[in-house]
Amino acid sequence: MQDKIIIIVILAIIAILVTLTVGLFFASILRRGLHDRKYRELDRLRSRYRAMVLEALASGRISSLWIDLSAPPASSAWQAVEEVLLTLMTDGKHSSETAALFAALGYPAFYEKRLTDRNAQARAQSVNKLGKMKNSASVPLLIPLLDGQNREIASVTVRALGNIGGNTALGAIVDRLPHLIGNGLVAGKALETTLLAFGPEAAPALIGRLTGDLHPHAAAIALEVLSRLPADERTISLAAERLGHENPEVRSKALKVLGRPEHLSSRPDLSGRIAPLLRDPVWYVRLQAIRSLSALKCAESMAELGALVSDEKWHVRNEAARALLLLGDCSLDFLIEALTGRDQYAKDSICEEIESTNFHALLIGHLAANDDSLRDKSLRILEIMYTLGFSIPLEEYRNSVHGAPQNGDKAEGQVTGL
Amino acid sequence: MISILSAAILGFNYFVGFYFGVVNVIYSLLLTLALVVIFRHLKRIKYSALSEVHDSTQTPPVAILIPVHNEEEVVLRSIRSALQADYPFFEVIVINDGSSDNTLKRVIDEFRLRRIDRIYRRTLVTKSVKGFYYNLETPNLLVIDKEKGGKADALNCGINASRSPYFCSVDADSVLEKDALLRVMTPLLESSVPVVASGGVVRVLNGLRLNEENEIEEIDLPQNPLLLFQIVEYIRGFLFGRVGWDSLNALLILSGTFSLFHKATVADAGGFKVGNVSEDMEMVVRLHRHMRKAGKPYRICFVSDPICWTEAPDTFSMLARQRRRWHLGLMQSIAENREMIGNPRFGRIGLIVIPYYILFEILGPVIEFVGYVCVLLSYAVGLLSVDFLLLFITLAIFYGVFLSTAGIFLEELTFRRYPRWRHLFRLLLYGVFENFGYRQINTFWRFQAFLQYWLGRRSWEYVENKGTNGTNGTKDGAAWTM
Repeated sequence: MQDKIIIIVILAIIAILVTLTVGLFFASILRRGLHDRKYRELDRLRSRYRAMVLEALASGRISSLWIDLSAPPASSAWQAVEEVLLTLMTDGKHSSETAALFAALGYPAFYEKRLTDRNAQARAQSVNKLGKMKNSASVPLLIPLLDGQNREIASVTVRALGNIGGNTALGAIVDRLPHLIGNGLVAGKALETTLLAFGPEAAPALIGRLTGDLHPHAAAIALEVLSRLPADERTISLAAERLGHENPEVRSKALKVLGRPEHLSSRPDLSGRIAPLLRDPVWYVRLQAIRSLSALKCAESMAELGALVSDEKWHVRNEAARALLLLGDCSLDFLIEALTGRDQYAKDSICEEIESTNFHALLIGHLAANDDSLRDKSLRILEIMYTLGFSIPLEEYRNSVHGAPQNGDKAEGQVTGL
Repeated sequence: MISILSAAILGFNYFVGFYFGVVNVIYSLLLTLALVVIFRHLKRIKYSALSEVHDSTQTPPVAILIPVHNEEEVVLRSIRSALQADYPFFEVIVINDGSSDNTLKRVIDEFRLRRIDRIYRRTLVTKSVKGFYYNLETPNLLVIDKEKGGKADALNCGINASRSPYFCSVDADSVLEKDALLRVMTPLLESSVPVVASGGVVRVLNGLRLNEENEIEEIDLPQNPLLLFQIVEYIRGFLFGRVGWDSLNALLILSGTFSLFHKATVADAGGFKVGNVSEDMEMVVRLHRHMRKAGKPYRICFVSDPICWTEAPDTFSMLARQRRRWHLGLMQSIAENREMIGNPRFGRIGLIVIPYYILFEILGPVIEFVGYVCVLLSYAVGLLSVDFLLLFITLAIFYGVFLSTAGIFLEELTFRRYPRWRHLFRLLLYGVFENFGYRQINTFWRFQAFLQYWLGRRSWEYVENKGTNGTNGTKDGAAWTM
């Protein structure tokens, strides 16, 4: 009896499996068939509508087009029209006409209705569409979505507002930076990308927000964006104030804002405020301080930069070496001092940077200089490089002057002592 | 005595039946999860930030690491494919791991590289580096020549030399789809929880036609049935196995053929383990261990739309080697991180995922193999009726056919990479055929690996890469033989 029950159960399972398998088999075939038909139809409609829209745009009769393009929502024609218009919108040539067509055909209204859909993905899709349509009238409806706790919705809304642009959208994002960052709703990189998409208009809003007490991560994001936008006196002052911030990320981003040659040349006092950060306990702050000072090519900080070629972090050592090289001939003494010191890491970093920045070409050039001091210093550096195993520049030099062996041999002989 | 033996065999048969039932229930759950997740993912793709990531100056640089060892026939194809990645900032680092053929020379000649002096900072301990090669004309390509130390050692060397915060490991016999890197990177940029690793789908390259720029010109299926079985297997494995585990945030395997990692986290965890035959899996297990121990929030995710095409073995002997190696790697990886087994400190990874892998993936082939023997023995000694025997075999085969068909259905629902009607029919057909012999042979290879592991054989078995689809001829090359 028990055996019979087991057999019946197994047979039932096999029957279910066969049914499911056959179902999936035919579902695969059916789906492919339906998809083929759907996309053939979509291709046909897209090319037809594209031709119609382009012709109307060329002749300026765009207002008469909406009757031809009207279609019931979610139909193939509706989808085809939407894709054609979105492509034109992305091209950017007919943005205003396309936006007007979208509005006349009822697309924004359709997606705005779906913003209250219970399904989060349907809402996210609608937000994304409204953003792509650059429908500024939807901004008031999109802004409240930033206040929720759904990460997906918050991320898409930030991007959509970035696509639409405008001060209202920008203000809404900037005002909610602490909420978006503090609750982990939107990734920092995504926010930076969106804020940068607003262009220079983002700066005043960010500066306004920075003047208040801001979540350190949010402040770092705001400063990162500001570092990539044209800055005015207020931005520079704000960044300079944050050089003493307790959060290293904020200090580092503030340095990045200041580390542009135009800022430093207009405010010579800044180099004095940046220099102490060369001794910051956090390595990436020291790194950024070097970068900022090297942008200024500030010879006064040479001694401090020289000290940093012995830093414990190789990123800092290399950056310091690179900054010294950017200073040109006046840094030769510091280079020799470091290269004749005991710190092997410092020597390696300097030699590596000399090669990667092509500074060795300058040194080799100096071998034929009339200035004895310059020639001797260059020769000394090349000699040390050779003994440390950084011999390729010299070998290449020798090969390049193969046609004039005397010069090549002379230079090589000078350096190698042969 | 005979009655005791009969009772033992009967008891084992019931155990096999129960075990088989549990495995199938788990697979069915994973399949259901995968269906839900893939549907959601398909909708999400429509509003993903792909174009924003592509255009943003904030997108972090990535180093594509290609470790090579005696791959002269395929190396140029994979480098060119990597260099064509549609990604804003990336460097390609090729690590020649002591090749004894012309691999290095071919790369140097092709890209007119010259030797450069560069400091090698041994953050992760590796074998010695012999030289660096570079050419300003291809500024994002760096070739490192090093002493032979194995794939893990080569990857560690690439990590040491890379200056990007993320790296993507790509096998030398693989071709990346142009947007694969961008797609695999997107979750890292969208997630507010740090993503320390992310993997994409790997598909079988054999059968594809590539153009002169090594872009995919036409997707076709190979003629070799062994390759067709593997294609069905890859579709099933990637589309419902990994997607299912990913939805539970419990992914234990990312394919080393194509995976992205956060460099600093990998370096903190100690880099790739030299000596492990499946360094990719071991790395993922160790990342879980490292992050859970540190108490930091993290994600290891699988993305089902970036695709990397890789060459699959086309002979039984090579396939056997590969499968034994994979199984051996699984056992090694778990053995080396045994502290996690059943340990609540490691959350669901320690309590559910690793026990699952031990019970059903490592021991599965053993129980299946012994089960076959026992069932036949039971039948021979009259403990099992013909009806039962046939029913049991029918059930096993039909369940296998169901899973294969479900995998192909998922592919049809999602990416439809095989565009022709004949592709669909052949895949469906081979999804049925693979249950008559192929799956059983696979079980046997995994059983062999299990035995070899317990007998102390834990070395890498090499698999040939033929470069049959590229522009570089068809002569055999060889991968790592250590």
